[in-house]
Amino acid sequence: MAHDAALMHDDHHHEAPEGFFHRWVMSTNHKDIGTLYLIFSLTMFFIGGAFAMGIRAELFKPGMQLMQPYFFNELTPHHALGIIFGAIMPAFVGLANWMVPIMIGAPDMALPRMNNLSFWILPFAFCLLLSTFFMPGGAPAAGWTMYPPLVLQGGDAIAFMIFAIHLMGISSIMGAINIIATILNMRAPGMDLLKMPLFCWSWLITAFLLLAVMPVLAGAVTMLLTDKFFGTSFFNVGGGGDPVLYQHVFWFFGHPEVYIMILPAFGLISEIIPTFARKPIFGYKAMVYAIACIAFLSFIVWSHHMFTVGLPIGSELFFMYATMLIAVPTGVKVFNWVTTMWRGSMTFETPMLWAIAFVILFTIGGFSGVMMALVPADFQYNQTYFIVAHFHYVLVTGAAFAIIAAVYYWLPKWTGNMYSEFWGKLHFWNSAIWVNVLFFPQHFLGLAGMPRRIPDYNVAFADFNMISSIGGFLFGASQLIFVGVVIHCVWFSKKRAPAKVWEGARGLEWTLSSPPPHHSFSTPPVIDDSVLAHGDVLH
Amino acid sequence: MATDSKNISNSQRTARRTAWVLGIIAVAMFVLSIVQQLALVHHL
Repeated sequence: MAHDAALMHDDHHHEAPEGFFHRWVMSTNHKDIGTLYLIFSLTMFFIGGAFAMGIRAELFKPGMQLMQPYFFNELTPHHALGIIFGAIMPAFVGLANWMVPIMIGAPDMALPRMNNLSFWILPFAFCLLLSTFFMPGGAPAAGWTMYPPLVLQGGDAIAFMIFAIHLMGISSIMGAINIIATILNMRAPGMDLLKMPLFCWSWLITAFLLLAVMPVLAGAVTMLLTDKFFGTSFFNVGGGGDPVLYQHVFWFFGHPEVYIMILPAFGLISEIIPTFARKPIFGYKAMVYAIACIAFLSFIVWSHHMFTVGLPIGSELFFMYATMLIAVPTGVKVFNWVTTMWRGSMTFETPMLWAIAFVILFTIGGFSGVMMALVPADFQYNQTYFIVAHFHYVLVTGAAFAIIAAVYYWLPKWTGNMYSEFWGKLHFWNSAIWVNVLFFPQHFLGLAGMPRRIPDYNVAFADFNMISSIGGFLFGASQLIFVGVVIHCVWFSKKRAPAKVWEGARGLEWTLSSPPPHHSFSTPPVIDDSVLAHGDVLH
Repeated sequence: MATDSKNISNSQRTARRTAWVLGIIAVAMFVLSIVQQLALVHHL
C-alpha cells in the first residue's frame, strides 16, 4: 500500500530544507505544516481571546463602559469566527497533520502540495476578515451566524467577510480531502481500518462531515452575497424569498460544524486516557461506531437551533427526539472513557489532568444541551446566556481543553524535550478553576433572562456578570502560562524526551525518536499488534 | 518530489483519484445548496 510511496521518499532528502523560506513557506512536509497550523491556531486563540476580553470588560458592570454598542456587536462575530475557524479547526488540522501519518505508518500526507496550499490560504483569509474592522461602515456586526436581513443592512464589508469564509471553506475542504486520501490510501501494510488509533478514526469521520457541509456554508454565504450586491431575493421577502430559508441552510452546515469541532477532541481524549490509565480503551469498536452514529445524527438535528422561528409542531417533535438521541452515542463514549479509567493504574501527568477535566466539564455542557433539546424549555433558553454557557462548556472545556491536553501529550514527541510538569499543572489548575468561574454563572444569567449579544443589561444581572468577567480575565491570563511552557519546552528545556515518552503509551508514534526524523517512515513499519495503540486486536 | 507526476506510486495515484472524487462531491454540494434554494424560492 504505502510501500512504494515510502520507497520514493527514500530517494529524497531526509533532512529539513535549509533556509526559512524553503523550510516553512514552501514546505510539503506534514510535520512542518502541522507546526505552522498549530502556531497559527495559537495566534488566533489569542486574537479571538482578546476580543472575548473586550466583551467581558464591557459586560463587567451595567451601562456602557468602554466602547460604542456597534463595536461590541463587531466583536462578537469576530470572536466566534476567529476562534472557530482560526483556532479550533486549524488546531485539529495541525494535530492531524502531525500525527495521522505517523500513527498509520505513512511517510507523509497523500497530497503534500495541496497540504501547503490548505495552510497558506488561512492567514490571508483572516487578514481579509480582520481588515473589515478598518473599512467604511465598520465590520459586519450581526453575529457569526450572519442572519439576513440584519447582516445585509450593514456596510459593504460583508463582501470581505463572505470571501474570507469562502477561503476558510476551501482550506478546510482541501484539508479534509487530504486526510481522507491519506487514511484510505497510505496506511502501512497490516494497519487495518479497525486497528487504527481512535484519533485517526475520529478525523476520518470528521473529514467526511467537513466535505459535506463546508460547501453548504459556501452556498449560503454566496446567496447572501448575491442578495446584497446582485439583486437576487433568496432571503428577501419582498422578492419572494424567505429569511428562514437561510437559517435552514446555515444550520444544515452549523450543526455538523459543532461535531467537526468535537469529534477530533473525542479522538484525542481516547488516546490520552488509556495511556495514563495503562489500559487499552474500553470498547474500541463501540467508540468507532459511536463517532459514526454522532456524525450521522448531526445531519438530522439542525432545526433545534430554530425552534422559535415558527416550525410546524411535527418538525419540532422530530428535531427534538433526534437531538435527544445524540445523547445515546455520546453517553457510550463518556461511559467508555470512565470505564477505561476504572481500576487502571492511573497517574496524573498534565495531559491526563486536562483529559479528565474534559470528561467532566464536557459532560456538563452535554447535559445542558439535552435540556435545550426540549422544545418547550428551549423557548425559555433561546437567545439567552444559558445558550452561551452551554456552548462554551462544550467548546472551551471540550474542544480547547482536548487540544491543550494533546499538545502536552505530544509536545515532548514533537520537540524532543520534556516540558515543565510544575508549570503545566499550574496552567491546568488555573484554567480549570477560572473557566468555571467564567462560564458557570452564565447559566444563572440565562435562566434569569439575560439576552445574549447585548452590550448593556439590567442591573439585576450585575453580580453574576462581574464574577463571570473576573473569571474571564484570569482564565485569559492563565493561557500566558501555556505560551511560557511551550517556549521553555522548545528552546530552553534541558530534559530530553525518550522515544516512548509515557510509560503506558502505545502506538506507532512512540516507536520513532523524539523528535521524529524529518521523514517519518522511510520504509513502511512492521505492524506489531502488541504495540498498536488501542485497536481491536487487544481485545 | 514525492508527487512527481511522471513517477508517482500506486498509493499516490489512488490518493489523487480519491481526492478528485471527493472534490467533485464538494462542488456538487455547493451547487446543490444553491439550486435547492432557487427551487424553493421559485416554488419549482
